[in-house]
Amino acid sequence: MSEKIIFDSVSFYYEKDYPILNNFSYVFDSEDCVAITGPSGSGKTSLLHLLSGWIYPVSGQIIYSRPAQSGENFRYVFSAPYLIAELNALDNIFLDRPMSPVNLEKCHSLAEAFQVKHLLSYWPSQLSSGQQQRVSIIRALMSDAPFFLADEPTAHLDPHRAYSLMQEVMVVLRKQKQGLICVTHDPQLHTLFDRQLDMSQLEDNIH
Amino acid sequence: MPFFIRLAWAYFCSHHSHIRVLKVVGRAATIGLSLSLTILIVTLSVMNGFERQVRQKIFDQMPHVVAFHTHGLTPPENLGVVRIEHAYQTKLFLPRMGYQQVNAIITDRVDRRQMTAPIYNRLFLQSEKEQVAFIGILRTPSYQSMPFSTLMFNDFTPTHTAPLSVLFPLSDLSRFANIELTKTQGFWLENPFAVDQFVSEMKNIFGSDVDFMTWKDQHKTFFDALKGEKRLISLVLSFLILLIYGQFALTLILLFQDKRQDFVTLQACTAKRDRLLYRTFFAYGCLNIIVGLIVGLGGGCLLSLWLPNIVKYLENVFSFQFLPYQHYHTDTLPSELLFSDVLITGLFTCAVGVVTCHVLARYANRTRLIDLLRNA
Repeated sequence: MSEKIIFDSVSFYYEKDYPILNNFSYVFDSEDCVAITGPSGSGKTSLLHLLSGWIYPVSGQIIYSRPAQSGENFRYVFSAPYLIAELNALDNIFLDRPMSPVNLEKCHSLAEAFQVKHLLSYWPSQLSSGQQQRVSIIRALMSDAPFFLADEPTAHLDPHRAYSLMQEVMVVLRKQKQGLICVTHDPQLHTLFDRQLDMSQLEDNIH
Repeated sequence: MPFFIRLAWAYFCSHHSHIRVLKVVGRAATIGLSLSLTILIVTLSVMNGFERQVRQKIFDQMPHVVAFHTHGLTPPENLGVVRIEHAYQTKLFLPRMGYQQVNAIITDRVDRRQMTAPIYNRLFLQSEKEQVAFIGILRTPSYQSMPFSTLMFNDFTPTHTAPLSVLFPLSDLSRFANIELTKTQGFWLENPFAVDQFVSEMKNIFGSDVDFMTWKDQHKTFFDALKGEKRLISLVLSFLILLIYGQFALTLILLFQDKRQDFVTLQACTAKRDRLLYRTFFAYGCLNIIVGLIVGLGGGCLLSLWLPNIVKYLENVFSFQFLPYQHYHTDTLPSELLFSDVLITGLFTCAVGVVTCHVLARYANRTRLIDLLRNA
C-alpha cells in the first residue's frame, strides 16, 4: 500500500508581501517519482522543507498518511553531499543505524550498484565530489522511508553522469517501492520522472 | 559503542576543521585545565605539608595538653607532671623545656617493641635521678595481665628483670589521683590528635578542680589562619578553573560553527534525531574535560608525591638550596597529598564541566534544522 502526503490549501511565505505558496493543493504518492521544477526563487526548496516538516505552512494543512513525528517518512539528499569528514564512507552511510548483517548486505549491494563498493573504507576527503554524492545517496537509500527527497542532487555533476546517477537511483527506488520528490533544474532529467510539478505554473495562484 | 560517543571521539581526534583555530583553542583549554588542576593540587599539598611541619614542631616542643588548677594558672616554670611519648627522650626534654620540678612522667600507649628493657631502665634511672614518678598507661589488652608494682612512687628500684611491672591500665590511674595538680602540668601524647579523649579521661579522674588546655585550643587562631589561607588559595585557583571553562565554552561554540553541515546531516539523515546533537556535544565536551581532569589530577598527585625528590634533584643540578635551613628551619619542601583535596577538586571540576557542557549542548540541540541549513 502506498503512502501519501496531501497538501490541502497550503499557503506559505517568509515575508507576507512575497508569498511562495498560495492555497496550494497536491497529492504526493510514494509510488510516483515527481520532479519539482521552476526558476530560482519559485519555492522549490521551500516545498521540500514543508514536505519534510522543517518549516510549517502559514495556513492550510499537510496530511501525512503515516505519522510525521516518526522521522522515518523521509530521507533527504542535499545538493552537497554533507558527509562527516571524521567518519569513513561506511560510517557515513550508517550513522546511527546498527550495522546488522542485513543492513550491511543492503549497503554492499547499493554500493555495488553505485560503483563505490571499493571506496567504503575511504575518508570523504579521499573521494571525488561525485563519489561523495553517491555515498550520500546510498545513505538515504538505506532507509525504508516511503519518500526520498532530493534537492538538486546532481547539481555538481556533469550532465552525462547526472543522468546515469539518477537512472540508478530510480531503479533502486522503484525496486524498494519508494517515492522520489526531486528538485531539479536539469531538463534532461525530466524524462526520467513520472510527474512534473512546475512551480512557475503555480504563480498564477499567487495573488 | 553508541554512535554519539563514536562521533564525539572522532571530533576529539579530528584534524578536519574549517575553523583552524578550533583545534588550538580546544587543546589550549584541555592543557589549561590540566595545568590549573596540577597547580591547585600541588599548592594544596605544599600548604598541607607546611601545616603538618609546623604542627609537628609544636608537638615536639610544647606540651600537647596543659593541666591547671581551676583556681588559677601557675607560672610555666613550675610545670610539674610531664608525660612523654618516648620515654628515652626524657633526658632530652626535661631540661630543654625548663621543667625543673617534675613530679611524674606518664607514658601512654606503651609500645612493647620500642619500650625495651634498657630503655625502661634508662627511664627509671632518669626518673629516680630527677625524683619523678613514672606512670605507664597501658591500653594494650595483652599487657593487662602484667603484675602491677607499687614500688614506683617511693621505693622504686630499677631492675633489668621485670621492666613491664610498671605498666597498668588507664583505669588504674585513679589510684594515683592524689598526684598533686596544684601546679600547671604539661602532657605529651603519643597521638596528639586524641587530646579530646585524653582530656575527658583525665577529667573523669581528677574531677572539676582541674582544667585542661589542649594544643588545639592554644593554637586555634594560627591553624584557623592556615585553613583560611588554604581556602583563599583554593578559591583563587578555582576561579582560574572557571576561566578555563570559559575557554571550553568557546571551543564548543566554535565546534558548533565548524560542524554545522554535520549537524544538518545528523538532523536530516538519522532516525533518532532527538537529542542526538545534545548527546554528541555533551560527549565531546566531557571527553575534553575527562582528559584534562585525568592529566591534571594525575600530574598533580605525582608531582606532590615526588616534590621533595624533584626539589632535591633541582638543587643538585643547579647547585642552590631552595629552603636554606638557617632561614626556614627545614631542608625539604614539605608536601602532603590529601585524598580529600583531590576528591573535592575533582568533583568541583567535574560539576562545573558538566554544567558548562549541558548548557551549551542544550543550546546546540535547540537550534532548528532550517536555521542550521541556512548557515551551513
